[in-house]
Amino acid sequence: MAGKILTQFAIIAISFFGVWFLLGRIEYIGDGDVQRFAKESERKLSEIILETITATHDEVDNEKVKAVLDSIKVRICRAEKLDCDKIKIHLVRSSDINAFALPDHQMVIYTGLLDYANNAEEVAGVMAHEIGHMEKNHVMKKLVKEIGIEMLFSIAAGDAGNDISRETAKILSSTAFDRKHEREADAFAVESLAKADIDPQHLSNFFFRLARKDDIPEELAWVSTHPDTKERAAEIIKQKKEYTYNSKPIIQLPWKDVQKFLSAGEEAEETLTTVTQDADTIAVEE
Amino acid sequence: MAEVVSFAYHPDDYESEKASNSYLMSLIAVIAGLPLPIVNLLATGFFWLSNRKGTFFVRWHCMQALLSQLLVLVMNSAGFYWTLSIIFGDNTISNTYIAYIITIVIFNIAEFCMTIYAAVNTRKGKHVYFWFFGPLTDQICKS
Repeated sequence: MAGKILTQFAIIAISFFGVWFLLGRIEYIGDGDVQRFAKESERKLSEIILETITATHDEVDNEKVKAVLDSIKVRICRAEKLDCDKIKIHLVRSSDINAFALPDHQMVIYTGLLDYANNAEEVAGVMAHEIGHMEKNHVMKKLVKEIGIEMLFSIAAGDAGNDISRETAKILSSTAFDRKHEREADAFAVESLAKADIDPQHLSNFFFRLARKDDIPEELAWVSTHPDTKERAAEIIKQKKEYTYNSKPIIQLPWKDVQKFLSAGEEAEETLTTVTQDADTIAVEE
Repeated sequence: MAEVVSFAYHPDDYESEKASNSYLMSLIAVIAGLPLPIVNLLATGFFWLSNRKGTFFVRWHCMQALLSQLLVLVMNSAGFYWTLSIIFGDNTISNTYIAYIITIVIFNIAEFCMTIYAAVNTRKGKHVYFWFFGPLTDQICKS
């Protein structure tokens, strides 16, 4: 009798897991929807979101600083054997300490982050983390989950209003990915930094410095969008032990000089704005 | 999955009604207790407790109704907590999750149909013997 009971139980269990397995082969949602969102639509969506961001913040066109960011990007991409050209970096003037990924491999970095960083390696850590989100397709998954595929199609087609585009930009710049995705991006960052001979300790230090601030000011946007900072910093230290690397500097320049380029650019822009305003005033007077 | 077999004696009308009610109890509780998967088990459990000193036919069917609820309880609880982790936690809706929900819906419908079949037939005094749960009840419920 006991044998009969066990056999029948085994048949029920096998049929349950069998049905589950077979039904699991069918694409219902998730990745399927994300893939459905064609590359072209993703590009248009990214353009619209970027327009929304640059409508309120100036895009910085400082060649020296851009060259530094590019050299960081190339170092990470080469280490991970990624196509460097497909990742585009947009440096935006804002005192917020923030960086985030957009669809179509676009990355936005605020000047506030570069001001706050102690060295190029810390910036590399943040960039590697954001490239991790891009490579794991977290950006589109997050947008599909929070906004819905149909709404994304209408934003990309230009049918949605400015408010919706602004809201989408806000979701990407000021809300966190879920914890699983953050940890995946952290793991990617540690791996790519180690492969690029950049010490992942710098990213951990950056996290610790942010976490040490008891009262998080509004400008520390990257902390509010990246919760559990202390735990993750500790996890990075743990993970980095799995890799061997020979730490090499990214740039020869002191980081302070890069920050000076930024502030010099800001002053130059301010002078240019004043000159343009003066010229406008003269033109109006005439 | 469920068949009518001969029983040691022919139950009277009162016994048939009680035995049938044990199945009906789980059906009503399923409707009342959704989406909490524990309610139908609790209802069947209380009914079994109140009838554990009843006749062999009544006890046997109360036990079979209770055991058949246990399996769907396990499946539904997993689905319930998985859903909660998606709503309040970090999990996301995936193909595996949807497949699981469809699977438990199929198994719940099968169990629901078996329960109705058992309720109708035990009311007529017939001895309904479920696949797997029948032999298991035989082991637990001794005359």
